[in-house]
Amino acid sequence: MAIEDNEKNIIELVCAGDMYAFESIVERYKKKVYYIAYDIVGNHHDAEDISQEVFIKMYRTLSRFRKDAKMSSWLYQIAVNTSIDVLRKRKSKPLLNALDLEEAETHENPPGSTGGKDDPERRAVASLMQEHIQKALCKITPQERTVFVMRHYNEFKIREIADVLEVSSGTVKSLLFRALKKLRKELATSQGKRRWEVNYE
Amino acid sequence: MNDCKKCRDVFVDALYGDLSPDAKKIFESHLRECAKCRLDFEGMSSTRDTMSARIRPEPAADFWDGYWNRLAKRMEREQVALPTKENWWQSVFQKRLSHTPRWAYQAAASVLLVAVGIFLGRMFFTPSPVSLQTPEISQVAIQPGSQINVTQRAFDYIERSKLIMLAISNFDTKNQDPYALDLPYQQQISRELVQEASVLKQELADSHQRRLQELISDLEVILLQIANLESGLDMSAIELVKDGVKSRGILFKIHLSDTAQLKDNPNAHPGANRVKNKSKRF
Repeated sequence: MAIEDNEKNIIELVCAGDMYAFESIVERYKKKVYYIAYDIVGNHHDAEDISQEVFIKMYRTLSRFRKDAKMSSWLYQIAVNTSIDVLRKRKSKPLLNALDLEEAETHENPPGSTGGKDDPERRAVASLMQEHIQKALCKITPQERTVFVMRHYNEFKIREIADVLEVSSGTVKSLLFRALKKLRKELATSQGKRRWEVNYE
Repeated sequence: MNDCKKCRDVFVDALYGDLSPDAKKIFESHLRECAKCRLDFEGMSSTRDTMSARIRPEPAADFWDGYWNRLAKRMEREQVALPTKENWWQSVFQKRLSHTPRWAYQAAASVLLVAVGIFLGRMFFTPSPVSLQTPEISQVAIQPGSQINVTQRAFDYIERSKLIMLAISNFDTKNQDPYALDLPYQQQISRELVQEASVLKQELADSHQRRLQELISDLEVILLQIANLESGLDMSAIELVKDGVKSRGILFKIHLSDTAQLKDNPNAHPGANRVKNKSKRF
């Protein structure tokens, strides 16, 4: 309650032209907005662009923001819609960015760790795993992906996702169930292919 | 079979630990009895775990440190601005632009043309009160020494305009009968008042009554809009006029001028006289 009251005060300050107040909103939400965008579109550059776009859209429409609404839900809704728009323009598939995948591998085996950096086979397996996961995420619809990444990677509750997407909790669960079923199928297919490739070699 | 359906309905809750303790007991009991549901749930759990192995690259620390600066620069570059009261009309037009019919543009263009005409007329031609006024008004205008002084006429003008502003502002475009507004009559009065405005403003300027002059100017703009409404009752055009009255704070300004006038001279205000006369009748 205190946070919501505080947010209302901040919104009033921003509407009065206080840029420090707006900066405090950006600082509070920048990571969450960026990660939602990243998980939906799948690459760093678009995610940064989208997250900036989200805050600009928010700034432009802040005076029309309903005082009884929750600011975070509204902000995440703009993030989801902007990310899905970017996907639509890109014919709906998240871009598999080779640089990001490499970065992910480096993350799994940071320099100095013994966890497989010196083991080329383990590195190759980890790399393949990341690729399979990313490809599986590309195979589900933007709506299913949105719900899945919000629940799975961004720790939103079902009710919160429903608020952001303005749908019922039942719809969110149904989308999540479908997403998991499709991901299971995709992962099974890619693992089957991998086994076949290994045997063939 | 029925139990299997119920079980699948809570698969997602079970996978993410959202089941209540009682529901969890029932769910696990069903899984022990039903091999198919158990296999499916294990498969889903395995998928969830595999997807958890996804690594999301964390941007470098300087990415977050410089985030606000980059955003601020972009906002400056794109000249991002808050919608303010000064550019209220922009937001009105942005909201309406996408579903504004062609006639509305035509009406706006005609209003603009009339406004340009008035402006050019004022710029290049000497005001000719006799030609602009109705006989009664011109008679008043050419008698500067008459008892009805310019302030009194200004208040009379405001009082007559107020009736039109109230009629428009109180008209409910969604629920009220359009003919209750009697738009042709309101337009006729508006046209008369618009004609009267230019001379009155000049006289107010000469007598250094800036506030009254500004109020008459505000009223003139709204009256001009009303006078130029198309003859068919178009609710969105009336809504635009209502927005104009509201955003310019016309009724509030009229109220202020009424108060000021009553304070100075209670008997001088025609509106006050009317109220007095009216109260005598009851």
